[in-house]
Amino acid sequence: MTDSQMIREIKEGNTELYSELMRRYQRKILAFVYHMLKSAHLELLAEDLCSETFYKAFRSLHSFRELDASFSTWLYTIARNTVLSELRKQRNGNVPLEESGIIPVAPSEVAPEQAVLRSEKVGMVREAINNLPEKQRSALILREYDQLDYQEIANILGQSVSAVKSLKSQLEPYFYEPIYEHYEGMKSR
Amino acid sequence: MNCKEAQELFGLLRDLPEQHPQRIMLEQHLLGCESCAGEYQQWEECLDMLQYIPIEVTEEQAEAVNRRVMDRIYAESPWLAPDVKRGVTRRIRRRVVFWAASFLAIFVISFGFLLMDHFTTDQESAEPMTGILPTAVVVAGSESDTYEEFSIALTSVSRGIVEPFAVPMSPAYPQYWMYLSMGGMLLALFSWKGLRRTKR
Repeated sequence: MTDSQMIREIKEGNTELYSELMRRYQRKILAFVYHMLKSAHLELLAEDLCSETFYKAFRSLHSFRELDASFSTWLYTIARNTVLSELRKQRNGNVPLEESGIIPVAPSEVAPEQAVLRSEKVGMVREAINNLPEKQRSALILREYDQLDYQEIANILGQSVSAVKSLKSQLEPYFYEPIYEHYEGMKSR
Repeated sequence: MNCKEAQELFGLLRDLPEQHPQRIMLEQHLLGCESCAGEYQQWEECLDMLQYIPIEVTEEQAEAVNRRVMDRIYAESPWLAPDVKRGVTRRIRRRVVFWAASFLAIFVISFGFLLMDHFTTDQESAEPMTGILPTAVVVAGSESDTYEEFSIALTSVSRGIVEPFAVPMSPAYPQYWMYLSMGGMLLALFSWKGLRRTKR
């Protein structure tokens, strides 16, 4: 059953189907909210805001028009707005992402020094993401984690496609250059 | 293609199809330009690093969100809950619909009756049945000839008694029918609104 068929049935009163529809996106939206949040109690807030997103989506389902955007784009837009409004409420726009404390497990064939190098790079990338302005961070997460195309990202962020397509140049000062410089520094060590 | 143009396309390369002219041009440029090739490799590596950042989202967490949302929906709109919807609400709705239909039927019948009555009753026969009737004056002896033309012959009435004021109204169907009809209309409106809300 496609999303639009499900939505039609839900609108006609088959509320139980909404649970099934959520199952298709719940992990992606939760991960997106998780990455967007920058609070000390990250996990708890991520779940709350994800629930809020799906609840809002259900309440406004009657106003959803497939001609304007796909359901996933619409959902991501609600999720982003919910997170932004929460961040605005808390007024702590630049608190870095909580360190998970989990060091990525390196494959067994990778030499220990390479594993250390990679772990260091991951740390750099995480820091770089934290330092990104909100729009660029959203674009990067949507692009790289959720694999959305530029048109969808543009719809979610309310930007033109060409603006989103120049993501690389937008990310350069915050993301790419610091990592690159760090990487070059490590190589010369 | 110069280096600036090539670097602008780094972010798009993954999306471009194999045979896309921009992709071919960029690949050719990367083969010939060592600086851009190195930069592209760094760019790709940075993005690949994103995949190593753990996402602390488990299936259980996602499922908990699902349950929480559904519980909230059912708590705030109990009529949407599957057990309620199948049981009590459906029964009540069926009864409301039955009563609304009955009352509306009464309304339609009485309205039809009114129309039929209106068209079948002719004006002449209706006239004496409505409004103020001429007073029946019963007089004695010779005076009776003078007023004969204005008098109504009342055989069963004794002399000296004036016929009471008689105003029979038409149509003569019970008045409570109108209340029932209005009740039917209100119930229909209520159930229609309820159904619309349920659908939403």
